[in-house]
Amino acid sequence: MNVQSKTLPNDSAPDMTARGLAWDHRTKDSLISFAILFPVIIAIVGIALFFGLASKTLLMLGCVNVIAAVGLGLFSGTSGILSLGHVAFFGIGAYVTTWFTLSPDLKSFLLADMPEFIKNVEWPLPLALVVGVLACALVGAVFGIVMMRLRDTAAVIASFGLVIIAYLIFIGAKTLTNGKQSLYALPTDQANWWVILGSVGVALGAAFYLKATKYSRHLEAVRDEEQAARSVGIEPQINIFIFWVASAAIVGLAGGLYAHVVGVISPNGFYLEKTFALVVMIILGGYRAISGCVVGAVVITIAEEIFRKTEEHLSTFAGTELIWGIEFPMVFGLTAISFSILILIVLYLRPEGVLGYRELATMLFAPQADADPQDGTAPGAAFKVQGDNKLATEGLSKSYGGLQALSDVTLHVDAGEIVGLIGPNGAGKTTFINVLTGILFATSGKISINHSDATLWSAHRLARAGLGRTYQNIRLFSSLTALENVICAVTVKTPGIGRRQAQVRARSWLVLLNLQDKGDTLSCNLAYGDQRRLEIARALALEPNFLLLDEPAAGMNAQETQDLKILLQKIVDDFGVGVLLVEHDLKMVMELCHRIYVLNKGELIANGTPKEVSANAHVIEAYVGEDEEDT
Amino acid sequence: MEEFIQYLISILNLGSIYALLALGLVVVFGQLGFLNFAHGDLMTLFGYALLFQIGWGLPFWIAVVIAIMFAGGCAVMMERVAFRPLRGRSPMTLLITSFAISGALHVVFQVAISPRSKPIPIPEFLSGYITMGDLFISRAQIFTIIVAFTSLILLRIFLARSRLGICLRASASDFDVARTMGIQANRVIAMAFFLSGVLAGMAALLWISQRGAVHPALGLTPMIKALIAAIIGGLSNPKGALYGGFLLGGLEATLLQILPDNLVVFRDAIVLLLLIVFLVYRPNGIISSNPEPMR
Repeated sequence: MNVQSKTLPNDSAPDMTARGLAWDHRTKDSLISFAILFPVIIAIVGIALFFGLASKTLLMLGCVNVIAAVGLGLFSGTSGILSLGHVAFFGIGAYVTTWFTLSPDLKSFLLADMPEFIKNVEWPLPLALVVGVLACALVGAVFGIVMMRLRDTAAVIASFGLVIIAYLIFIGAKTLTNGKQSLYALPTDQANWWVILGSVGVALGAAFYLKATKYSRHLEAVRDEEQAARSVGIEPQINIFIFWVASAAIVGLAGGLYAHVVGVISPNGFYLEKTFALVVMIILGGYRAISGCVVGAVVITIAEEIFRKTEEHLSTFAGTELIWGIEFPMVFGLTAISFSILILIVLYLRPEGVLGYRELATMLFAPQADADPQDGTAPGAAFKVQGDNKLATEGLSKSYGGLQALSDVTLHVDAGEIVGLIGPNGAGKTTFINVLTGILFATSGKISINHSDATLWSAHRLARAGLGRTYQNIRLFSSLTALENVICAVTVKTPGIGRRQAQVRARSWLVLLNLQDKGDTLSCNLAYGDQRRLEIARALALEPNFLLLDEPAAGMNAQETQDLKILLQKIVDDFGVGVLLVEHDLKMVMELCHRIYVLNKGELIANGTPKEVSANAHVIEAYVGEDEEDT
Repeated sequence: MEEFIQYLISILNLGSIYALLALGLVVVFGQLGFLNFAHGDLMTLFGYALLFQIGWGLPFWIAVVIAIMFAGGCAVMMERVAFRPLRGRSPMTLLITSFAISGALHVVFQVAISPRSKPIPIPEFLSGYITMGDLFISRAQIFTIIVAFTSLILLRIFLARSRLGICLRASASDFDVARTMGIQANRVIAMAFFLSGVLAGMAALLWISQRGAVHPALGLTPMIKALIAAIIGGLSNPKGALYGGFLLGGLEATLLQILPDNLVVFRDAIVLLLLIVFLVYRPNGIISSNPEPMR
């Protein structure tokens, strides 16, 4: 189907020679943020140690918290699903790592019934951490099969179920965990600064690496607008899975370190209180950005220490009489309640967190207005749809219970022609496009692309097979820039494309749609007309064989409509794309389209050239109206 | 035969408690589109209210009625204080908010009352067994089934017939349209929360009557199971909560029967795992709110 895919241009090669230029904005942001954050963390630790501002254990715990928050934030921020379940991985990492570092003598005492092959090993911490991380990745992968299918509320609740399951298993699997009792006397001397800071580097590096990939961009697109993401060919599940497993592994690393910093672990340490602590870290900092998670972790580490000290201080008063015989109560849970209240305060006052969803790099350095050379080059010089491409439906029907939204619609669009689909409001035009692009199921009938049956293909498969579309009510990836919106489609079309090259190509599509100055603007901040054109740019970047436009001129003024007309003509002339145009602007349809189908009450009532259609009595009747009550 | 009847009764018993809980969750979900994590703490609040009243010497049944009203009142307060300022925010925000409230209440119970379990004296006629031939049935279980089914029928009548019930259903099916038809949002939402509190109180009464004690985390485990049961049933329809609740009850009773002794500690873990696995096949629940699954 992808007839043009092997002839993709490699024309933007010149700027690829310099290695430094091979980065896109995303990679640059990640690199700069990493290059700032990691040294700053090392510096904070160094200064605090040098001046004796904090104990070694506290500083190490801070580093552990940073790793855990980065891991949790990586999934939650990118997918928009706030996981309450990562404490389970924290616990698994802690227990598994401990199995391999605890001395055989202690294991015979604490875990007498554990399998021999683990009992007799005593590994150095870094090696044990590798096993712990792998174990978390494995458990993460198994549970990821569930998580990738769930969204919103169901996903959050299921992730919370994971914590409870893990907690019950930690208690129940006595031979491996010593049940409710703790495992103690862990070799804390092994948790030295090399291991800790090395792990921080690895975790941050991994997180920023993933953030810079197209997978992150695709998952963010799914987070913002899943339906539109699917119709540019992004498959949501695999991206959710990748981030879930990666974040499970990173949080597991934190768990393994935590065990060896503290020296004692028990199931209660991996339960609700820890869940709150992790959640408050990423919410406080602003969990859509890794930088926010780091800041949140640092703040919460300090806060936790202060609460703990206060609690210790207050508990010395416990039992003394205050007034009228009321005794000062035993104070505990101060940390937990403060975290709860902190979550509430942040959600009320600044739901996007302290850093407001932005990475450090974008806060410090405004993105360079335009660093891409070769602007103005015609996009996809080799993008040419072959003339024999054909999109057809046969007897396509869609009913909701008794309501027949579409009945027996048979039409076809050939490459290189503009076909209009018109009809009064509620005629079923948008339903038709939704069925055609895999958003809705057809009740009966057939969809075929180049004579292969595509009726049951998923939305993303249809998109990859060459169906690009826009939406009547605009669906852009609102938290991504205009440029990134387009890159999403570019990297779907050409999976192996270099990052820089993808950005250059995406920008050339923006140029074509006259959006070259808007590339770095968040798509939600664009003007209405720009948003409409950006949707077309995004659909075109998929280099589709067919472009389905759902009322592209709605809300445009006369000049914009005129420009759009010229543009559509150009798209068809230059690329040979077949266009299905749903539009209310009859003048535009009549001028542009080679053929027109007329839909009324879910049925095709006429088709033919503009001249034939405008003379058709049925069409006039449907538009001008007769008695509506004839259903 | 006796065993089978006992098994059936334990399904009905567990199922009706979970169904009441899940119903309480769905009633609020219908209005605001989020699952209230603090629902389990309403159970705990009921338990403490009952405990204190009995401590003051009130008769058990009067204490129960007051405690149920108290749980309803607490739910309304929760909405007024915590959720109303966040009206219009994403369901995710509301969910996390309720999670935080649950955590805070948990600590409050521990500090202000006691971290330990407190026994609640259960009246004579709720303890012990009825014997019918070889059949031993716990009175508390019979009581649970009768009370639960009566309240489910009353709830059904309330939702179907009363003015407020119709308002609730209307605004659950389309909040904005209901508002334009003159239904007062605040009143309906407060009503939904009151109802969910009352349902939580009922569930807690049945839960406690079989356990005879209250502790700070009383509501946590039943609530998390009910949360998943509600999702499994389908959040769009109160009927879904019933299906989910009884499915959960059946699952748990079955596991009680078939699990060997050394695995009984894992019962809740297995139940949760099975529920979550079920979600993989039916992400939108038995009664799906979304008739168009992704393809």
